[in-house]
Amino acid sequence: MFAAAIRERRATIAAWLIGGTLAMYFEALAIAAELRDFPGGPEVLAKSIMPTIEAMRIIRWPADRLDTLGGYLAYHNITLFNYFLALYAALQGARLIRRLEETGDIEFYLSAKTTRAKLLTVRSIADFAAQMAISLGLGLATAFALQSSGEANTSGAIITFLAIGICISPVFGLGLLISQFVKNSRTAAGATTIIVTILYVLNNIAEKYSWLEPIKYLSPFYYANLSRPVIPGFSSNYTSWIVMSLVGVTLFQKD
Amino acid sequence: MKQQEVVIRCEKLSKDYGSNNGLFDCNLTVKSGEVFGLIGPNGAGKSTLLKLLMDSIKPSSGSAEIFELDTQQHSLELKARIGYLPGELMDFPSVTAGYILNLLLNLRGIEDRERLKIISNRLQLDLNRKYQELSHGNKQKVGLVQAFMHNPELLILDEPTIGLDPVIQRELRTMVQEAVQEGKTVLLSSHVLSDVESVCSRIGLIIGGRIVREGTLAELRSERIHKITASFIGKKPTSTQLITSGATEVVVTKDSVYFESNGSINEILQLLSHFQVSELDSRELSLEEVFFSEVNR
Repeated sequence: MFAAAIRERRATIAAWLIGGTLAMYFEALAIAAELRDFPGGPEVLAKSIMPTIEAMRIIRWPADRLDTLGGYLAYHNITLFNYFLALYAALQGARLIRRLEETGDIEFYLSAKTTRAKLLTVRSIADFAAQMAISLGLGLATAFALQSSGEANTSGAIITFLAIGICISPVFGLGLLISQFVKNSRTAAGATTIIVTILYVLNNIAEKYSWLEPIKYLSPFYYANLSRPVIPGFSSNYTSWIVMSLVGVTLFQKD
Repeated sequence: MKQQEVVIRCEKLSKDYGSNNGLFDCNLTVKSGEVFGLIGPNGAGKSTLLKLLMDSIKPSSGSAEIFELDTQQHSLELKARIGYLPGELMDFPSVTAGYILNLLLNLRGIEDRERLKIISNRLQLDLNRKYQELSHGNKQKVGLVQAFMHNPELLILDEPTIGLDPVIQRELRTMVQEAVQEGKTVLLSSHVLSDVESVCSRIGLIIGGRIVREGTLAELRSERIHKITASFIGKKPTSTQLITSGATEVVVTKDSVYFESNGSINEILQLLSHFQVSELDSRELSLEEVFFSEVNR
């Protein structure tokens, strides 16, 4: 059943990896050229674009070490990949069981000597495995892009994406939880998408408004951003990995 | 298994969906070797009953046992012994029919694929075709193969003939009859009354979530209304005489009388024997007419 669940997701995984690799590779080449050729050098470039970046804070944040390829890629691409991967996880969670119920497939599974709990667990593990495979693949793609652009940081790229894969896992559980309280998988997906987007935007703007700052701790994006070793001089926060994994498992068990 | 052991027993089994929808106080006994047919209009509660037996949904009240085991407490154990065709087609994406059936066999822990191939051949199902590309009838065949492929002791089939061509319908009837000859039990629901009539040994008519009529075909026949038209030479019986003998819906014309009789017509025949009958036409209600008479009641 696990293999079958992975098989169902193979096209999605492939699409993520191909699209992600292309986006990372060509963006890295472009950013590397910009950093290299900008009059005054990378520091001047980083300083000159900050007003624009501040204005676009609602879409992308945080922005650190924009004078480096790793920093610029982390800001420009990885923040968005973080958001889109979270949306993917949320939708998978929202559709996990409800979609099977809507299509009637669940009756075939359940009549074949399996339980709902087993079905839920195996397919959730498959979703998590797919999410981690996509994260790992994107990490490798980023490592390749950095290597091709002259700023090799393989472990940093991979760890940054693995942190994303793990730290956004609670939104999968959130989608699954919401799906129990709404009529169908579409409504669950819509509601979860709105919540994930709010959490993403809140995390982006929280530091700007002091009264919002405590709320950022509710956002999985905050914890993912604690581990960005793809940026020169930045490290990983493995405690947040453990905490978010536990939150993810707890939300899953609420089903 | 001994003949006539109770295989399915429901006691006041209910599932209330609200607004008078669902299944209510269902008492049902299906014995070993029987083919029990559930008939009823859409939304009558047929599929609800089958889902309750399969523990796909939980009852509001009452209990159900299969092979003397509680369907909720022994759900997994029972599923190993039951072949179930749900009322809705499955929707597996991007895989072949063979892949789905092998997956479901794997879930059952069965390695032998021989029976899967035999049943697929009998139902003329191409296992190598993508499931999504199959017609409705062929998708139904996939469902039927998965119900039969592990050689279950009990078959629970929800609308099994839907979408099947007449040749495959006939083959399915044969498969059901063979299963019964092997001592297996079948519970099926259908809208196709002729199918139920041809293959089922007992029938339950379910309307508004309640089983309103139940019995063997012979029992139902004995309860059936006869529609009788008799023509006479000379004198003919009066309405009062006919009604006294048990006739209903009496219509007397110049040369003939039309009436209906529920149950035995011996008394009426005795009455008619006192007259010179030139023509007598008696017709039993078909199962379809019984069905509609109950539905419209």
